[in-house]
Amino acid sequence: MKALFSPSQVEQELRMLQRELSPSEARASLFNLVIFSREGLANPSDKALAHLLGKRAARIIQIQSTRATESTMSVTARCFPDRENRGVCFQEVMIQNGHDNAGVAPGTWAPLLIRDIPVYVLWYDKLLTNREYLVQIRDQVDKIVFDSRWNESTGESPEAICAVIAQDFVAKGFLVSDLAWKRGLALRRITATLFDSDEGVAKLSQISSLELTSESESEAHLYALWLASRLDWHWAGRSARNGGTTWQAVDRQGRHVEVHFEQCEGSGDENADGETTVRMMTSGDEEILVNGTPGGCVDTVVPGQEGQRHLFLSPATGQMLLEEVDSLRSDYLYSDAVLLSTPDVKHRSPARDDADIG
Amino acid sequence: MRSNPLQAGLETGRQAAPFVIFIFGVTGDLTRNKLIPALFSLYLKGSISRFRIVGFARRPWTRESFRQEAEKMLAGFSEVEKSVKEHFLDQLDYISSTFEDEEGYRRIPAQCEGFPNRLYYLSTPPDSYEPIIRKLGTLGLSEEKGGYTRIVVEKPFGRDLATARELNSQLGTRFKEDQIFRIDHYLGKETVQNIMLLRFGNGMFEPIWNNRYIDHIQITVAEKIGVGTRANYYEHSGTIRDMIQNHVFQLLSLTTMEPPNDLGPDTVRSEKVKIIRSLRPITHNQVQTHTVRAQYGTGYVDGEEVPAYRTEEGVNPESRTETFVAMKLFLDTWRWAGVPIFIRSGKRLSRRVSEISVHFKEPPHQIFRTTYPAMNRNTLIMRIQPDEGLTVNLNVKVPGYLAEMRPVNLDFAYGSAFGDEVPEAYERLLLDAFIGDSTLYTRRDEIEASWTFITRILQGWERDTTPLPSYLPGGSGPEEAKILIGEENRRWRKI
Repeated sequence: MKALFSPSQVEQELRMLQRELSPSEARASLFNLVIFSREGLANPSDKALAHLLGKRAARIIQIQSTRATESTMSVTARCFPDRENRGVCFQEVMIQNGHDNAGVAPGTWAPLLIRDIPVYVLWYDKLLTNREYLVQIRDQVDKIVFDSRWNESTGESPEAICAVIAQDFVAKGFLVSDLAWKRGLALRRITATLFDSDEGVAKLSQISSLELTSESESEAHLYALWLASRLDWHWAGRSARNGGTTWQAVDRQGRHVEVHFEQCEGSGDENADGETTVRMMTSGDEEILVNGTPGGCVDTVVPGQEGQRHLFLSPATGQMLLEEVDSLRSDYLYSDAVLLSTPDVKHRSPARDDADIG
Repeated sequence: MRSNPLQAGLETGRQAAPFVIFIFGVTGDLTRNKLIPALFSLYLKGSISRFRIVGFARRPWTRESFRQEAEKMLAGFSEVEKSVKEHFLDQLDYISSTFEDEEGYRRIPAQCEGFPNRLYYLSTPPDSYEPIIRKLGTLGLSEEKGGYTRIVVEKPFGRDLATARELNSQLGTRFKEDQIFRIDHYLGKETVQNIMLLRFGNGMFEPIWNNRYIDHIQITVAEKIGVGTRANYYEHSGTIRDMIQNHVFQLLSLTTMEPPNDLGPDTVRSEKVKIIRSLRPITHNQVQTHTVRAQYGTGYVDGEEVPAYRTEEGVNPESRTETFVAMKLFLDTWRWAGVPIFIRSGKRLSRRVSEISVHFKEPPHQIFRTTYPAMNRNTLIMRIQPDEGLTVNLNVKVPGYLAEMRPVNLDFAYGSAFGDEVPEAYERLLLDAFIGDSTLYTRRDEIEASWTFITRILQGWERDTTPLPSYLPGGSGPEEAKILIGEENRRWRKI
């Protein structure tokens, strides 16, 4: 049998490369990051890694599924001097997975992980068709990071992604992080501040419909699920309506709440969500508006209050990845939201994610 | 107020409620170099969102000219979009007034309309503190009505016990203690905060952190630079006021305090003040045996000739202001009884170093031969700057047939793990003031306890008329400091 590589030889090569690039001193690796991608499906992982370079030393294993017959592997290193002129290095293993599927086999890349430091997976491949594989690698990794906005661009539906994540990971207490959810934090925060007064809290129980305009259906879906889970709505899922997408929910008083989503053109800027709009109607015919403006701000309009402008910048993918690799915690708000979308799944509290979540 | 269910899980505890900050002395360098950039950085991070920044100073600036000046202060943020900067600058306003003129103060309430919370930041020379505090108090501007009113005071907090008490008394007459935030930017440094994380976030250190295992502790805050353009200030302060009373004592208390029960401001600060109060007083008669002070002479630093302190511009040729201090201290506590703590700080030393080294006792019975008899003791070094990190000095076997050992270093560089920039100290401290977390600010009793100890030494020095020793620039300080530590066969770590 032909071996794809010898782990000891790989380690030796990585050490040599790092020494060449950072002859004085190099920082110790803090974590392993395994990046899965597929040839032909563009993803921002390179840009995200560029953001991390010089900030965190790590072992990076990039596994790209290709149309080649056989899997191949190569090693490289990148170092960037930090403020003390010491090398902060990525020790990189690049695996091109072929039709033999040797490259993606856990037995191929797992021996290359540095022991005793966390293992993160950054997943830029289809989620639904790789469901079994993801379940299989759970034992090897500590957290899986994906971006349902990116998966949406490959044709996967936000509802199906939520269901898989809820069933296979959240319900099992496994750490997952959806960058689309993280991207929505600024909007959730701004929304929450609109209801800080007593009158505001009273208005929450009067929300009768919601109109969302955003570049991403996945992010709008997660936003609606967040609102529903915080307000204790029952989530009834998608319903047919012409022009756009509509989800149905039922509030605590048993009244139907319609959530309508309209997709808008993207600005192309990964951290500007200029066109995002949230329009909430109340049973008292009042309208609460969060209106994105080009240039990184949103205007909010609440009846009886002075309109306000807020800074509204979504973090870049690299910034979000940096936060993810610094933490082995999960956001319970996310868990609550995705579990709400899949009501037949029971949540099991994760052992490793006990206190201080969120 | 009813709780907002949408806020559940979103509270980071690090977001400021809407506020107005009044910066007294806004035209000075501190605002330009630190405060406005720190506020903008907090704004970019979303830590502050609804706010107004009002400058208060004598210069006849207008709102527009203040904004233009502030825009220049944001030059370091060239990558930020213009519209984002403009939104920030829109929140700026200016009151042109002397600190004595009541009319200026009467314009404060109008600036607070729509904002329940206000914070006064005194970024002025200390002699302006009194009129500002008095005016704020007499005009009822220190009262809290439906929100907080806080005041941030920059160091120096007095120049001895009497003046510190006087300042505290002025503040205490007009503001309650929980409204007063005395800023020592040293505590805002990540590296200083990391001392607590290291000690109390790791279970392996506390069991040996006592007089059973520790022989002595050294704290060094060394500077390579001389007095530079600060002669006017430095002549009246010297190293003991400039460094020892505040920065070095902060390092001392964080290194030796008991574990606090939690991170509550009063819990942590109470433990710190206990340490300062437990410092064994150095009596007037002991200043010669327990302290060393000196001035740098002429010489070379980095190959460049540098003048002696007394010939620096603005320095009295007969000056007795010290540029170097070393002390031998004892803490009268159960944990630290008998463990000497050596502190030193000075200018024009061989390099810029801030560190704490904990020197452990030798094994009770040494069975191995050592090739480095002078370095038998294990040492744990917490490097504050530069190259922040931790080094543990361990003995290992020298390869070969003999059971010989030699010391090696087990190194951890904090920056190695995290190569990115750490936030500016002012950023952290300002945010703490907005959210009311005074853990990293200095409490009245801590200030007075440290001045009680220092003032006794100052009085002892005043009586001492012997000439001040001098030391060579670019070295490690005067010979007298080496004698101070060397009495019991100990030596300073190399700078």
